[in-house]
Amino acid sequence: MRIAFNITLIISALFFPWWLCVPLMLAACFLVPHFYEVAIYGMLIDSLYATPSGFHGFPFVWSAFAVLAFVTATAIRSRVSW
Amino acid sequence: MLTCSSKTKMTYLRRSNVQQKKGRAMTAAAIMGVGLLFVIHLIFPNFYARMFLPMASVAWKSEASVLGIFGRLGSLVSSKYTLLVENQRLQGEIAIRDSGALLLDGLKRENEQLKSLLGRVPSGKDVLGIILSRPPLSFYDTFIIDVGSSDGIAIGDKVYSDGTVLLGDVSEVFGATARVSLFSMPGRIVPVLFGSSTVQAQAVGRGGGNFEARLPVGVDVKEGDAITFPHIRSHIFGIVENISVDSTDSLQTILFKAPVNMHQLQFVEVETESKAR
Repeated sequence: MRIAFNITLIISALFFPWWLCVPLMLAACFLVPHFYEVAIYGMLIDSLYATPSGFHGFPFVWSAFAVLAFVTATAIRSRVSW
Repeated sequence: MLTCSSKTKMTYLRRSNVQQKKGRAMTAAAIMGVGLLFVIHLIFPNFYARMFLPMASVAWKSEASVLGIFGRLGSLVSSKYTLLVENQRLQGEIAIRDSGALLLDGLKRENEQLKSLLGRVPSGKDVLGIILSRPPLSFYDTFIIDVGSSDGIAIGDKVYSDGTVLLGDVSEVFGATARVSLFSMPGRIVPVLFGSSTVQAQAVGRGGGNFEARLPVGVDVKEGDAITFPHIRSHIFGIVENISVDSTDSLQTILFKAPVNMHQLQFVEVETESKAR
């Protein structure tokens, strides 16, 4: 599943609309244990599309989102079992 | 009375924590690795872009050619009747627009003659660029185009669609690609001129070619008014779509958008040396 998510996220970063990348990254964080790679995909998207002026002046939206998704998913996963 | 108490001594096997330690070490290494990558990303924001953009542009170019083949196959199987109806509708639309275009051509010529009389002739040249990535692929309202420093593109060059619609400017240039910041980037503030009155205001980008501006209620702005950018070249920046006036507010909110659909554009023209004027 880890490899499948990695391939899907690379494809989504290059070809899918940004709003499709959000649920995919979240799903990867929740379904794959310790999905550290999500931070790399966040940085990849920022480095491909962001400009210094960024989104309302912040150019690292996706990196921040990826780290937040990873931390949240890890915290929830350690408390919940399914 | 007899009380009986028994203490049972339990012996547990000591659990091996070698696996646990190994797992923690791997986690720490992964976090440190990602942290290091993030630090590089923060300090050198273009480092990864220079690394990934050439690879990504190859992928985007192949996607465009694959989609082109499928698009042509789709057009072959579409109904002839639909095409006929579409053709008639478009012919009617062209006839209506032709008369307006003639008038505009005349005005444009006159405008350029007046500028040349006053010694303000645009000296740059336009470079055609293919859009490799556009919104909604990009969350930041940016384009990646297939022309770069090797084609004479520089930071700050203005980017147009159809030669007349001003869309944005070049924010970063690489060897064979460039990144274009659209003026409609969320939060980006641009000075604009409203209609024939040329009242200047600050417009704020709202993404996807949409803008918002606030003007005093007394300023005469109507829906459909053209909006321009303070720039020597004749162009159009946006069209007023909606005006909302609150009776308790002395300012009116004007929503306007670019006259082209950013999601459907395929080509742009980059006006090189636009900073020189």
